[in-house]
Amino acid sequence: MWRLWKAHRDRKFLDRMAKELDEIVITSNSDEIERFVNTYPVSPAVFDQLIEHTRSRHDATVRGSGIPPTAETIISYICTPDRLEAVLGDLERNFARRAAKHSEKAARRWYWWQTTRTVAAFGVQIAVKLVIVREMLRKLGL
Amino acid sequence: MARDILGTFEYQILSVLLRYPCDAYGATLQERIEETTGRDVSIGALYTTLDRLERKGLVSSWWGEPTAERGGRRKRYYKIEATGAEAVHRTEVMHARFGGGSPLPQGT
Repeated sequence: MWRLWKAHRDRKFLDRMAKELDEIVITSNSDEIERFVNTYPVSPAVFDQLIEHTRSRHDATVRGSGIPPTAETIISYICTPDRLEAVLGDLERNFARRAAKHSEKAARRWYWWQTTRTVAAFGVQIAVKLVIVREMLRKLGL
Repeated sequence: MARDILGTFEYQILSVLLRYPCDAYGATLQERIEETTGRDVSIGALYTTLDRLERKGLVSSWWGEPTAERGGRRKRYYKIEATGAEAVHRTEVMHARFGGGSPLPQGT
């Protein structure tokens, strides 16, 4: 019984450590690195190995999944050039995080949901502009 | 004066910018609003509203450095301006006047 409990405790400890390493690899936040080093008594060499291992696992997850290309193309068409880079960058960042945290499928589903809602948001904006232009043309008698 | 009162989503964005001014760009704003309100926020709606707020002069923005995590794309950072902070304050004052600081009893 004691062994079982100890194995369970060790597993939970390792899971927590892996989760924190994931966060460090994703965010590269110096505060999180410092907190990790203070919490877990590992040498710098071991820490580097852990980071390298987590990074390769994370990269494999992201590469294996891939953002749905059709969704990305739709956003590229609907988004104005001045905000396209920021929108696609934010979506890619969140996609990678979701793929690492949940699953590839969940991340893709989330990306499509965001695409649908983005099309709706920008579509409404375009429609409003068209109505304004039409009204102006009508007032000018054109 | 009445035109300076913010819409709900505008108020949420400006409040987040006011309370968490560091590292404020689309994805972090989206996360913080979702955490605070418990509602799903679309990135499209967020940028549409941010553009409107920028046109009104309530926020300002600038480009950051590209990062690998974002596929080599740059971040668009946002900062609340003094007029934006005033608009948040005005909206809060107006809401407090309406509600008197307490919710209405149910069934009224």
